[in-house]
Amino acid sequence: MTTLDQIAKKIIKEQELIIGPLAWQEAEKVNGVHIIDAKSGAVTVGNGDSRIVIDKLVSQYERLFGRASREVCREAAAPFLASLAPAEMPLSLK
Amino acid sequence: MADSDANIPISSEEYKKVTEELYKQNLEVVRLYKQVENLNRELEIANEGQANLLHIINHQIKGYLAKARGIFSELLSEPSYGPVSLAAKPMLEEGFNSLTEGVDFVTDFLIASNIEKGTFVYNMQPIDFKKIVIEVGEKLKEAAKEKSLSFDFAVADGDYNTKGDAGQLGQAVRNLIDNSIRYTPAGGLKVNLGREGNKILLSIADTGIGISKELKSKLFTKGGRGKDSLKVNVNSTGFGLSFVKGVVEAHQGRVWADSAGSNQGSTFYMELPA
Repeated sequence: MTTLDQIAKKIIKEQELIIGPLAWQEAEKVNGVHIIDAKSGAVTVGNGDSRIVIDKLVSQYERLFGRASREVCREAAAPFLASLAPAEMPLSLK
Repeated sequence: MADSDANIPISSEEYKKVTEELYKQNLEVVRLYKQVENLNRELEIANEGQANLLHIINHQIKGYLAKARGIFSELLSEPSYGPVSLAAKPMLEEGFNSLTEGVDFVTDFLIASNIEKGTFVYNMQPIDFKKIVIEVGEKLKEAAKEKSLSFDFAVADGDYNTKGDAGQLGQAVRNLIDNSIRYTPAGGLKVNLGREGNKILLSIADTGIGISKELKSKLFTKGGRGKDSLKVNVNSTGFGLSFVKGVVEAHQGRVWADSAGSNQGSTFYMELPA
């Protein structure tokens, strides 16, 4: 599991606490997010640039729930950001 | 009016505004929930630390008391120390008895604490529960008599064989009856042992100070004594009934109490599988 996979999982899990299973349904709509098992939280991000997939995931929630949801994504990802090189950092989490 | 309001379509902006507002409210709830969870975790750690500290202190106290009791015992029984004078003997005996009580008290406390933590190892054997209740009842009859309380003791015919730790069940029965004696200033107790289907039921009804609504919910918890408890029973530790609950539940039984309220007496029940 890459750091970006872990970030995606943590973001969806945090959103799930607030909006319930809808968090998984919305994540599924994002191109490049592959939900292997929602129950165990197994998620991978791929299909090209993983950074952009994370940005799309954050935007998906923000489009529906506003700026507060972006803050939730940032807080969720914060513990993982230190292990990312600047070039790997998704713009939405900066 | 309400119907016509309901039919007005809301704009997508309004819809988004409401959704975002709901999201914020849910977020607030989640944050509060996380705070409560953190506080609970901190509380659990603090409680565990306190319980461990109490355990260590009690072990130390038990050591000191046992050592002092040993000295009194030696002075009373070891001939190499020479004969004990008649004047000193009652004092030494009083010291020995008092320290024995102290050791027993701390031992009970340590056992109760282990039972609560779930670390106590019960000595489960085939037992006759009737024999245990009769033995305890006979001893405590004297304590009731000293307080001028009546003590009716009835055991229905039947089979009271079950499996359990005789020592701990005996202590649990003792705690229940002793509790009723201590909290009954006048009148008396009725102790009944009977069978109900495949259960053994012990009940102790007293004419004592009763149980207030407020106390009922915490009666069998650690430290769960009433606010005026110490006025009636200066030796109350608040652990007696919590010990009973721990022992009875470890035997797949249950314990509970009924009371019409303060100063209206109480009935304590202990039910065990037969």
